Amino acid sequence: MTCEWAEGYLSAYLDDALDPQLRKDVGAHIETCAHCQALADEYRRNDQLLTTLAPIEPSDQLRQRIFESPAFAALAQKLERETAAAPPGRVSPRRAPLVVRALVPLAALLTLSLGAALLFKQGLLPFGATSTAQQQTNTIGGPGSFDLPLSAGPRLVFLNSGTLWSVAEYAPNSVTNAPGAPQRLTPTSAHVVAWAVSPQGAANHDGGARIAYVDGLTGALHIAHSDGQSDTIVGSVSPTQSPGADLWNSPAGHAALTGLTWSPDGSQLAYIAATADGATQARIVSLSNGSTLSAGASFEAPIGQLSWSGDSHALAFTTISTGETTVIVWRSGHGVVTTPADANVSQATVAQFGWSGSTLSWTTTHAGAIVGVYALPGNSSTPSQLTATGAHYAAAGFTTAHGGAWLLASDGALSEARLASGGVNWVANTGATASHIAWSPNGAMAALIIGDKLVIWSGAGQTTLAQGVTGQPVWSPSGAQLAVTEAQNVMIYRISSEAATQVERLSGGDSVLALAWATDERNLAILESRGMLLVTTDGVSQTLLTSHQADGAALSWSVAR
Amino acid sequence: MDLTVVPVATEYDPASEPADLPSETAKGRRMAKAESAQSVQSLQQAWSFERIYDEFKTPIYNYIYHLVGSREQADDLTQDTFLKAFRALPRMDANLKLSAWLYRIATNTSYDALRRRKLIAWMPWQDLDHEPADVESADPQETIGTSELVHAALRRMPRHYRAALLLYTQEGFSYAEIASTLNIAESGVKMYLSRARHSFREHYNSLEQAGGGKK
Repeated sequence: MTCEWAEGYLSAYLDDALDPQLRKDVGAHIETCAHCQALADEYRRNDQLLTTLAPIEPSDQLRQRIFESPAFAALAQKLERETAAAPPGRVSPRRAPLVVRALVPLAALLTLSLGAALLFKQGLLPFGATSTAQQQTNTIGGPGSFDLPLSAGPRLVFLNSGTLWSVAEYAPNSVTNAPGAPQRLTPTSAHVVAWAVSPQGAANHDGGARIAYVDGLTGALHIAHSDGQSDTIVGSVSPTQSPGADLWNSPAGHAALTGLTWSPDGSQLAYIAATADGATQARIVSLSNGSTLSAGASFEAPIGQLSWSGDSHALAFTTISTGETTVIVWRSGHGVVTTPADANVSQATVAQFGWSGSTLSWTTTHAGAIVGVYALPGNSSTPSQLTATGAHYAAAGFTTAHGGAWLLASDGALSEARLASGGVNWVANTGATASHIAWSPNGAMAALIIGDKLVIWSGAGQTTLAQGVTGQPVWSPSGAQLAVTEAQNVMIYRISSEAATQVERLSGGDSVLALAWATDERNLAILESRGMLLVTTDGVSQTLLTSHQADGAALSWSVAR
Repeated sequence: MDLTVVPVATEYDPASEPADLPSETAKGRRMAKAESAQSVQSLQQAWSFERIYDEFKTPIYNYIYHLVGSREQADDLTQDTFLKAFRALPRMDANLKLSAWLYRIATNTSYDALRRRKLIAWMPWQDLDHEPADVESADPQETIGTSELVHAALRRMPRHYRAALLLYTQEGFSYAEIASTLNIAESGVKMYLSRARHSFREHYNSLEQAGGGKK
């Protein structure tokens, strides 16, 4: 019997886990073998080291984290409901009672232009001696560029250091579905200050495959394909070819940076041009014939809040002059209608536009509250007020479903204003008042932020999904998933027609600035202060795309074809 | 919030005291195995979630910490483990042996995290520096005392062996309990522990040498 043989049994011998004969044989070897004896002693000593290792006490915060977590609150609620529903002395594992309508995922799957119109904070350029550069090149190249065209398929687009980058959701030839490496979309000679991806649903017009951007060095408006090819200048937002800090720091320059707005069918791009006299004008580029037309006159006070009608035939925007907001509606072939945003509260500004067919609707806000909801049908020049004069709401959300409807929160209740029927109807009590409302893409339900809680409301009821919510919920394109920031984590809730929810925690990183769902909902882009992350929504893998923060908080998905 | 869970098809008996709590030492627990038949009783009583947490937090936390090697991650995974257990507990059979079951959840949760950590890829970023990947192993030069050497040696071991060795030595689990927790055959436990001791010894000794015996 060799040492090698005995060593194989040594561990079990020490644990008294050998059958008697084997135990005897191994024991006999050890007694006569100094090497194996030493090894046995060492094993015993090591066991002792592990056994006596001083335990670490978990912190008190951990207990707090568990018992004050949204997941625990949800469990507690569920058990309470079940206890209430079950016969005495018995708990049955029933499903949560919220029943929501079956979702219609396919329609919504096609629309995934996400977060494109978030914040464009990148208005101020680092202008120095190079500010006179006048590049009008439409080739992409130079140091650090990658092979063009970029591979087809869905791509995440974001701005970093004045350059638009794109990352293939799935790297070509990758067997693991890993994302690609960031690739440059815009030339090194350009400094991008504003950008927008064309809407995904507009298949007839290369939807999702076009990216409009403004080069801050020249003021030129470019449209490029998201595979990096066909970069073409279609206009300019600046009165000169070498705009400097003077322009970009002016109100008109600021307005120009926020103007890029694709029509829903992808056939037209609206933008705000700063004119030589410091005024602003809404302009529309037609992609079919390359022509540009002006949507109304130029306005001395800067314009903003461009909003296309669903049929891409009308464009609404606002201008604020001496504190009073005017709504301007341009209708293709019908000219322009202007009307005060709020006839009752003159200092109120427009909070949000919503279109249903040719009817434009909007909310107005003053001193932190929603003070009016208005509707302006296509054949009218005078808006009607849907809400009672003097009524105040803490939050409002619009859906194109139900013929166009606003969900309004006030005094611990939700009410609904439908454009078709007019008037405001109470729909539910919510306890405290919601501060944010986000309809699901098909309008079957809405996510509400109430205090720090995330609540899902549908016509059938409401359920609290989470507590400690620190960001606004972002629906996936199909409406089957909801992402929300809770402290430093991004949580994903899967919402089925039976409201069974599954929680996935995706990130334990830094503060989250923006989220954007991929078309196929298998990836979520998370912009954190430490960089940009791409995570699979099953939580299995995450990729840090850049450890540098993107410029502003905008990120968008496009589809290269 | 003090939530009480009453297992399916059993009566709520607030007077009963829970059994099957971790006893003070590993050896003590192995010795007291004969009593563990009483653990069946445990779920026939009402368990408050907070009670379960208080009883098991330290051993579960330490077990997870030794498996993953980071206190921050151990916090997260301990939270996940208990929340998963709390969610599943009301549906569990009355014969459930709570402690082995909790360790099983902790093991799977930690394995998941370790697997996930391996999948984190750090992409090159053009012209910009990027942070290095999370290196799992500790620098031996930083190890100062015996317990640090033990931690570092554990971290270098294959995770399955590490789990088996921790359950045996730290938690005082029997071969049968380890088999059930790790979802392997009892004969497999014998092999795991044998390789675990071998692996631990190798890493410990090499760390001790590398660390220059800075104790």
